[in-house]
Amino acid sequence: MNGKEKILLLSACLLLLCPLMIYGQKDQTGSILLKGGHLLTITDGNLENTDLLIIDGIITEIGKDLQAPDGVSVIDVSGKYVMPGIVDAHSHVGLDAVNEMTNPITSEVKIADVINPYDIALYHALAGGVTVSHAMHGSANVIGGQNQTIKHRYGTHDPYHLIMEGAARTIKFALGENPIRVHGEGFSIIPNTRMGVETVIRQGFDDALEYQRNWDGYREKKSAGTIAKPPQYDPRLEALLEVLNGDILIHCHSYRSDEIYMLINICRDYGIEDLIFQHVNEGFKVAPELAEFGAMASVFSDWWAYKFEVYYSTAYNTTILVKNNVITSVNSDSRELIRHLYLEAAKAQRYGQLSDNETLKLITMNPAIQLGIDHRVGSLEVGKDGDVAVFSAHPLSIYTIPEYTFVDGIKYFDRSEDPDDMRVLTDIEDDLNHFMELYSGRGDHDCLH
Amino acid sequence: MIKNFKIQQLFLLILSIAFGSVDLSAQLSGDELKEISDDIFIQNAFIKTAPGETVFQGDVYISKGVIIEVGVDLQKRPEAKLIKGDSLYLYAAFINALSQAGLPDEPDDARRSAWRGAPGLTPLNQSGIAPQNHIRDDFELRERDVKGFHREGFGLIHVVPKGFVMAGKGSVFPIQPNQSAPSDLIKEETGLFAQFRNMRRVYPSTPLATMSVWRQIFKDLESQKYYYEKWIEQPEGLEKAQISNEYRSLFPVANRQQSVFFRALENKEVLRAQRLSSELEFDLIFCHTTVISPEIWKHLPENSRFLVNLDFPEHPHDKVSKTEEEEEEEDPKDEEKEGDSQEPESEKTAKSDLDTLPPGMTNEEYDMLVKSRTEAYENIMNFSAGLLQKNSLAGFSFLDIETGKSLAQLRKLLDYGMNEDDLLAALTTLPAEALGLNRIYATVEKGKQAYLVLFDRPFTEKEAKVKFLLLNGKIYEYNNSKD
Repeated sequence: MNGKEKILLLSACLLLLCPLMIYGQKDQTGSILLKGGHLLTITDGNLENTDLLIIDGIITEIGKDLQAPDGVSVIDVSGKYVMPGIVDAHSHVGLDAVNEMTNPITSEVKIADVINPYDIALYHALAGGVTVSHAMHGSANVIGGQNQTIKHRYGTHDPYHLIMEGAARTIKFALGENPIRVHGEGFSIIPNTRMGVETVIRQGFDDALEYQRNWDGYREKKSAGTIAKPPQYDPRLEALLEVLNGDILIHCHSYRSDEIYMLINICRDYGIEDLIFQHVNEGFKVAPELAEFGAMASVFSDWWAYKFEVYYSTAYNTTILVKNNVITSVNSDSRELIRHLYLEAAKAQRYGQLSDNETLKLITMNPAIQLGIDHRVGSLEVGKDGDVAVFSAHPLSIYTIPEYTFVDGIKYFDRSEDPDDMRVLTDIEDDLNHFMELYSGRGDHDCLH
Repeated sequence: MIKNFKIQQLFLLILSIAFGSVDLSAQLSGDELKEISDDIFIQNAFIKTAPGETVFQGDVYISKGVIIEVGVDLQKRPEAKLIKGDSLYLYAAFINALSQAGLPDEPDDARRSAWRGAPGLTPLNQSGIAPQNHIRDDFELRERDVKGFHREGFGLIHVVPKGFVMAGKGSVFPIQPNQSAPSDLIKEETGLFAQFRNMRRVYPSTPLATMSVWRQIFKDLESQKYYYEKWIEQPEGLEKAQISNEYRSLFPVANRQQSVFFRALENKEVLRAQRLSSELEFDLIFCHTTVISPEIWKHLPENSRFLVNLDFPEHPHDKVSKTEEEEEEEDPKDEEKEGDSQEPESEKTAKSDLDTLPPGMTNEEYDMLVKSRTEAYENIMNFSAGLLQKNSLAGFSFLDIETGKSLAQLRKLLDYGMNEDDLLAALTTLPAEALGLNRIYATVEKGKQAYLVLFDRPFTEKEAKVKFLLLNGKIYEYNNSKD
């Protein structure tokens, strides 16, 4: 067996390890009663000593002295803090591939095709209270691939089980140094400057509109009974048409204020109304313009200076955006930061004195809005999904420890039942010395793998 | 007188050579071809006509390479070459259902495309998308590989191209030396061999784009093919239809006249290939799969077919027990000592596997790991039997198996839910069906091609040896005393 086959054999072994047998074969949804916690609802204030009932994956009741129906387990969370499961609006965990970097536009590729349910980072994220993440294409291309919002239903062998049904369709755009470096410097093709980045986007949209005209003409002839040669089918341009029609939301990696404003102008020119910027380190400079357009922002708490275009940054960026009425979230873009996203959000209190609820919204309701899933998650409300995180203290406290994480009412993380090895697969040919090495991946910026 | 006597001697010598009796079955070495004979009579063999069907002490009459009759106490044809089948076991010759033997080695830089332009503009055939590729002109088995296959009972081989995303079309050949004329081909195009293997720095370079390029090609093909057929039918007044070689070669795949043999090793690749098949409606056979999880089945149609990877891993902890035994043999004095503190069994087990446990690993963790790895191994070994029960086993993939090592691997499955008939089916009727050969190959029946093998005992026994192999009208005898 050659080396590659040995690595792939990792994916061929089936056994659920003993810890997973505690949960058994996961059903699609679960039921649980959490009693007596401090509920941080996000939309309806904080409720002391209150119960939360989840039946078949949906929050069905919030109140005091609730009784568990037959067969529903009860967990006493007295003294603990119960919040909606954290939503990370920019992530690359749970994927086998991130960047198809061979063309400046690859709108046809779909992250949903390469989900990897075995990524241990999914479990690490659950251990930090994160129940949903926006699995994104990388930032190598001006227009990258179609992203996929996933639920961290870790422990399954079925990649499709992670897909969050009904989530809005989104696509990755990227401005600035990354696409310039990959394509201009790397392959000597456009874009080689920020001018080129703008041109690629405009040309892509124009090509898509011409493609639509050609196909409309063909269909017209066909319905009139004329035999005509069809235009070439192009899924890349089909996807761009869906962006122009508003069926796919743009999530755009960007840093500098000039390029942020450039993309707002492009969207105005082509009638695109929904736009979410990612990273947005200079968002504080154009916060009113972002708000005026209705654009949203998903930012780092305090990550900058790792390349030239992110030198001009401030830890107050988050607060400035929020105070200027830009729907803002804090994201990780990192398999390390996702483990403590609640502390990343808390930095916005240190730098800007956002209130508790404003801060919690950065990692709950606001990213949910940005991903088009706010009707399902982002707050503790009757009728919403049973995605819940329980902490030992207030989630924004430096002393807090995540204790339980539920997705669809199923307990996927329990600190008291957390063995060292939570891998789903066992590599039967691996050296035993690797058994004790925990794979944590890179802790740095994951956009360009 | 002397001159005449010498001439007489010479004449007699010539006569004796020309008409001397030569027992073909006993005298020739195993590697030489017998004289071509139109008629062959195999007498008194234990015949497996098909998996689960047996004729005891049976006869087979063959003429011009076709089985004319199979039965008991058939009338012996005096003109036919006789093969005495006493104590021999006759099967249809085995089919190697997936191989790349006989093809040239890939260069070390095979993944580097010749294209030097923009990666996104790479022509299809320089990006690993070459469905029109054929291997019929490149295929040639070395003599030692022919013998290696013959000695394990293989008479037919399905060879697929090396390559990338769409590597090209497979073909079926007889396993014989000196492959020559295309007329020797058993089947020219079985289907398209595809895989999630990409070239570097050209589109598609990741599974992301591989999935997309399949969609792009097949959906475009649908409309282009429609127009092309209309243009063929009535070109007057129409813009000329132009179909590339790549697209033309995909017509039979799009029409489901040919299958896609998709190399899909495990859960994720199986699901990706299945997703493409469902969306694009091509017929799919999963190849080289090691094992899949029960959870995955809900995404697969009932008639899914697999060519299982025969390159099973070693048992992860066999060496532990062997080492313990060896230690016992080497150092029996330990047993005689009294009063010495004996380590717990788990400690002994751990230390047989490694010099020391990895830092931080407890014996309990080690035991759990042994258990999980052993169960994972058993899942792999039980996979074939499970597929058979679902009618999803199409045979085996021999892509990573060295010539001559196949039967040893197959016999391991006898301990994991498969019996001789199951293995015989996986080597004959099942791959024949998958490859579209079952009308005239893979069983010992009247009207079928005489591709047959005779073992000296059931082929599932460890010491079984091939005595004769018949294919393409020729007899190959293997005299094992000279091996």
